[in-house]
Amino acid sequence: MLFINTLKVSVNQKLILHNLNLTVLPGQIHAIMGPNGAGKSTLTAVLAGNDNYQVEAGEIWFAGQNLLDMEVEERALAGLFIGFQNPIEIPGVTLVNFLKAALEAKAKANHQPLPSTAEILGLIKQKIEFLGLPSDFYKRYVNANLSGGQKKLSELLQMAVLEPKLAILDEIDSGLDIDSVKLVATNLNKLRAPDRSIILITHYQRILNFVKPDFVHVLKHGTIVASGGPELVAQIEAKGYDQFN
Amino acid sequence: MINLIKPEQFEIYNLDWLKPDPEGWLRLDFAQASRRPVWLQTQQSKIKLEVNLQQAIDIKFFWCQLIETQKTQNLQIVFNLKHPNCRLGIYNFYYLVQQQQVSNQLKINHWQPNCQSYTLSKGVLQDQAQAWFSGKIFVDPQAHQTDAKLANHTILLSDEAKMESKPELEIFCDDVKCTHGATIGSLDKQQEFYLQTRGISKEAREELLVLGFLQEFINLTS
Repeated sequence: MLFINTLKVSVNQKLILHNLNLTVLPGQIHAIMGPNGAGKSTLTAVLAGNDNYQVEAGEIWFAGQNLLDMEVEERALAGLFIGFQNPIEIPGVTLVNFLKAALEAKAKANHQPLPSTAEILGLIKQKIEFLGLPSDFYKRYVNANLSGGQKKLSELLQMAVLEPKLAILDEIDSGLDIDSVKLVATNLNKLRAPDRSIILITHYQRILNFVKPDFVHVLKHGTIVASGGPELVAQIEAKGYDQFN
Repeated sequence: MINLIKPEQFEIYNLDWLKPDPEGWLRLDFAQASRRPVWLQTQQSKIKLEVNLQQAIDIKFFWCQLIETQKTQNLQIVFNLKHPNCRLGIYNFYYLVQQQQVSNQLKINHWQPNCQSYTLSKGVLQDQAQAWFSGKIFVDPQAHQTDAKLANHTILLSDEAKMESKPELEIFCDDVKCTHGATIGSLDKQQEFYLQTRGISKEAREELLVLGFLQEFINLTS
């Protein structure tokens, strides 16, 4: 699904990621954990296609395609979903119009007929119910006037509607109280599927108490310094990030 | 865009039916206390209009300059709040393409105390379109407790489009609240990137964000 080989990334000539390797197979959940400044957000930005980040070396393959050759929107249309740490507010644009544009783009890319407005609304309402969100959630403006938790749930709703092959969720638990973390985790578990991979990027272990990863990686100083199973989470909780070098 | 606006709840004022005075000024006087919002229309390329509020009334004025209308338009409108306790809303939007040129020159004169005015002019310029906005709030020495706001916001969708905006205050009274502001810029890069990560094409992104930008106006008119 995703194959990252000896990736080296810099921002304004400053090296942020180096010698980073990662392989994610279909259906797997990988947690990437690390302290502040480890390069977690840089990894998300590079995968999303943010051109403020320069890939100096290495390669990234996604679903058999060279990701680094693809435009931002091509990546999305190939089935990559990015859940942002700070979802951007777009006042004036309703979630339903936003998702309609995204679904129409997806249908076009797959050479399918454009879904009707009724079909789109039906699908969105169904996913809203599935995730237990307020029934009028689709009328809200994209991320505007939403609480931190609601913004993260809005990201999950988008993921539910767009049905990606791979979702990269950057600190979807940050800034949330424990009840909101539980709610986000419960909903994320509902979105697991045998052919869908998820990369959870996080500073804290607490969301991993509710979403069980198959693999855990520790990202520190721009590279992965330890990899293992869920037991690594307990080790980080007990001794922190200082034990890894 | 135009079908989002429902003019049936407006009172349509066709300015072309008014007779100008020798200096070319058109005049509209309002004295009735409660009334529907007013939609101003004209086919003229140059208009000088004076609007007088003669009673304590609550009234909103709307007009728009769209692709469908003529190539150039030069509007000069003076609003006179001539009675205490008036509430005035002034709403204008423009969407100009190709070589369209529009100028909106507004003056809001607060002559009496306890009046409020809110002016919002918003628009989008494409291709080589050009627009000018000037808006002046004037507050007379006796217009105590004036509350006046004026804003002009423009999105430029091309490097060749040009906007000039000049909001101004002229205040001769101390206990008043007046604010003005203007923004001119391209679409928000972060918002665009967010839409891009959802697979949305450049054309569809512009359409969505422009619609979002005008939503404030659309909400007021529907």
